Amino acid sequence: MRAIGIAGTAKNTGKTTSLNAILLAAADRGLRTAITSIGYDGEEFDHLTGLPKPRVTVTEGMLVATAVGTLRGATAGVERVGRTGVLTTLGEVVVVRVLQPGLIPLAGPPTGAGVTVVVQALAEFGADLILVDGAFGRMAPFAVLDGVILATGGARSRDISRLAEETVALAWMFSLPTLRPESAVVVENLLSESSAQRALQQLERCAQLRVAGAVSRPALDVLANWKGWETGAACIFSDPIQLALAGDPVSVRGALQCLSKQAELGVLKPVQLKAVTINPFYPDAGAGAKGQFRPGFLDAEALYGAMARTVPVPVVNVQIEGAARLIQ
Amino acid sequence: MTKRVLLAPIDPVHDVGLKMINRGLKEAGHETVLLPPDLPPEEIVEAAIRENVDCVLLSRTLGYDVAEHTARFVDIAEAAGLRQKVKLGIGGMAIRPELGAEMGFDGAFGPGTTVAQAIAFVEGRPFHEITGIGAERTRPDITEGFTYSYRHPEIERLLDKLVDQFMEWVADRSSPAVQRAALRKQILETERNGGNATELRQQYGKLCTGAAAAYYTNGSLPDVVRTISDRELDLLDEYCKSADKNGPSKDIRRGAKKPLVFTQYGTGCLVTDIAHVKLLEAWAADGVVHFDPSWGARTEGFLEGVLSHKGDGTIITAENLAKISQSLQKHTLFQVRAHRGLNTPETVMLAGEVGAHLTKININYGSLAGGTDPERLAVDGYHAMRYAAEYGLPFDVVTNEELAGVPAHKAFAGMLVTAHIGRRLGGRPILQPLFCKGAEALIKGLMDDNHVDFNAAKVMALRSIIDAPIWPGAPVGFMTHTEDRVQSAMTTALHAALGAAVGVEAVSIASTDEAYSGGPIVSGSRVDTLRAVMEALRFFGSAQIAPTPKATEMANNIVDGIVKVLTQAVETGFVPGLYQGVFGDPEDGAYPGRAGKGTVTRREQCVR
Repeated sequence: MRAIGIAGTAKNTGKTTSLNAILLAAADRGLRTAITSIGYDGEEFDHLTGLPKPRVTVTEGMLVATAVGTLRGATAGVERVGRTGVLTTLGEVVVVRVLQPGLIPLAGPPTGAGVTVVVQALAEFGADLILVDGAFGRMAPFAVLDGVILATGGARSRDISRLAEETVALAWMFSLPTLRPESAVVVENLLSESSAQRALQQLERCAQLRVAGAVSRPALDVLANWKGWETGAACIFSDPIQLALAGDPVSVRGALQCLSKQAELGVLKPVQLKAVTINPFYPDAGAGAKGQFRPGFLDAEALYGAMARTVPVPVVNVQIEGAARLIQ
Repeated sequence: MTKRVLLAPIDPVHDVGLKMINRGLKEAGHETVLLPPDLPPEEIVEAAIRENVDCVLLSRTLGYDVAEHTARFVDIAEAAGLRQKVKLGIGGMAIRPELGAEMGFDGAFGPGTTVAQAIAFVEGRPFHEITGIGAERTRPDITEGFTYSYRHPEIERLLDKLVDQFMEWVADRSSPAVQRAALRKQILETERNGGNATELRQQYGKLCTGAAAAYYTNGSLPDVVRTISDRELDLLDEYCKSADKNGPSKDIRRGAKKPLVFTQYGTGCLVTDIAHVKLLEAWAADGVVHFDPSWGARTEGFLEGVLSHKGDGTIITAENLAKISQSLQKHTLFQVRAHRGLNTPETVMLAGEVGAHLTKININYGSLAGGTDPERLAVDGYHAMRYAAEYGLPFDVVTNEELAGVPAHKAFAGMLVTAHIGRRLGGRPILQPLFCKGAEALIKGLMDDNHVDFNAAKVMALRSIIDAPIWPGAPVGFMTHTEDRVQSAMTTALHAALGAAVGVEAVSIASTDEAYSGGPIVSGSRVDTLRAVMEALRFFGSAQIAPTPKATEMANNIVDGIVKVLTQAVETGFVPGLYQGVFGDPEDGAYPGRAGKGTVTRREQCVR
């Protein structure tokens, strides 16, 4: 069993489109798939832009973990087969089996702890592949999974070269080695410069720093600029997603690369970046009347070219080529 | 258990709601930390850790980029390990549960969220318990606490005399309607006990005319009427359950005891009626008033079954009324109108049988402006009031003849006579002056300066006469509405606010398209006036609306006029006075009706 998250760099970067494409490809391969979401999927029109949204399409035999309050909006025929005890704003997450194909709204566990419980429940029902859809640019709950597929595109930035640069930066963070700390100073969170300075005061007695929780770019700058790192020092973060959340990926990578000149960098728990999906679409606030959005699109070929040339994992536009390469 | 709560307004301006919640939480014994607005997510998370809180509440009016920013806060809270022990809630104008779920919050609170709801979230009480924001709503008794004692001895003396005469006059009189009501009651009792009521039904049919007679002769229904199918009724039940699942709406008066707000329905179709009733309940109406078709007032006898009518007014049958009664939420008051036609006693009896809470009985309006023969309606009204007393149904006594041009003092004199008869029979009448711009006001210029004085004067006059409940209607603002929905909602709301300011027990309000619809009333126009009334009651609260000194003068004139009318009526007798114009004459616009003329019978012919 594999559990993969589909993380977006922003809202409308193609997470649900990628999910639907992977489900189709997985069905072709005869995989028993299960899905859930760390947010909410299933509205016909976007809450914020009013533009049409892709809906989650399920086929017979699939397992779905979703909040009980979403089921009345399903056009798919489903039977409820289990509960998870995980709560959302739309009620408890329950497990259903699809009896007839159709659409289904998804609202799953909002936290990493919830994702762990739900993935375990879906695995017990025999799923080979569990896909966890993301929401907005949220990724933190995916830290508990084996790997993620990153969805990015015009909704994140309309600057193609910038998109490629930050995706490369994110891929670099996901590629950091796994390190096992031996006698590290452990700090919970480094969210501000002052918290980083306090951590470094403790480090004077030890060569290894382990950050158990969140970090921020300003805190990383303090670490990178510290002159007290000893030979053989190491800085170990919880997982690559903590780093991806630290701020603008390019500047975070810059701070980390600066730090890597003085201390070995690594993560305690790896999360593999499996692939990147790209979506040229963006909601264009400037094209219509005030307060109204219109669909806008980047040049799909230029986007693909820039990303495929530089990003060190498979880059796929699922709307053009489907998701067979992602399943491989 | 005391909770520690961090409140973080992300929006630098729109943080009033969060401050109200802050106050509510403190009053509920919780400890709070209110952050300055517009802090970055990292600082809010650090503060939550530093303050060791159990819950973080954010407020923000969401736009596209702000939603991303807010979702990022949730991510950082997760990354920082906060989610294991801290609940996250967000509130704001654009927030919906789906959007809250998408952003990863544990609770999401949109427009209309109450402080109590937010406190329940913090305290971890189940969500369904906090959605019933009107759960404390009850069904009040409008007549509770009134003694019906007279403050005007002369008027009491005149009414006593007049009603003594009337009671003697009516004692041995009956009508086909009185007999049908008794038969219908026997039919219901017989069938409830599993008996066969065929013979009773045949007797009933012989007392009917028109469409009702045809129904009991050959089972036919009028072309504009059809039976609602079982499937339609099942769907209607499902609809009601679905409509009721969120529990009672909030209170239109924000906790003030009065005035109760009533609104009427009567689209003709039972299904549409119930849909309207559900809408009215959702928008906080206290009560609903059943309106029947105008032809029902001219036809002797009622049809049977669950019926839909292609035209205004919903047919009164035991089954229709029962279905509506069953559809009501437990706090909604149900009034069945019975005040003008040829089926008054049976209407009140049926209202009592189906568990209605109020009815509407009148003699003068129906006789002088409603088309029913005065003698007939006097007899029917008397028996209707006996049923009202038997079933414990308070009833209002309307003065709608004022709309035809009858001056207020004459209409009030008639209302007081009917109410006095009702009291003699052990009933609980409610006085219903019109809050309107009737012919008298126009002709005499009583509303040239303002619309407050004359309406307030009516209440002042009645209060100076008797300690009885007052329920202006019906609807308030009659003759001030236009086809302009904004104007119409506004004038209704102002009249309702005046009702509240002068302390009346209830008001009846119209929809904004009621006076000019020329067809079915649309649901949106019902919401117009309920929202407008809610806002007006909120705006004035317990503040007063001060009439000018002219109101006292007008009230005194009304009282003096009532004394004169009653004095004259004592000379003529009540029912002869109706024919002779004592309570309104053709010059006023009042004409004794003809429907049912010559049908009153004496005791030896009575069934009851």
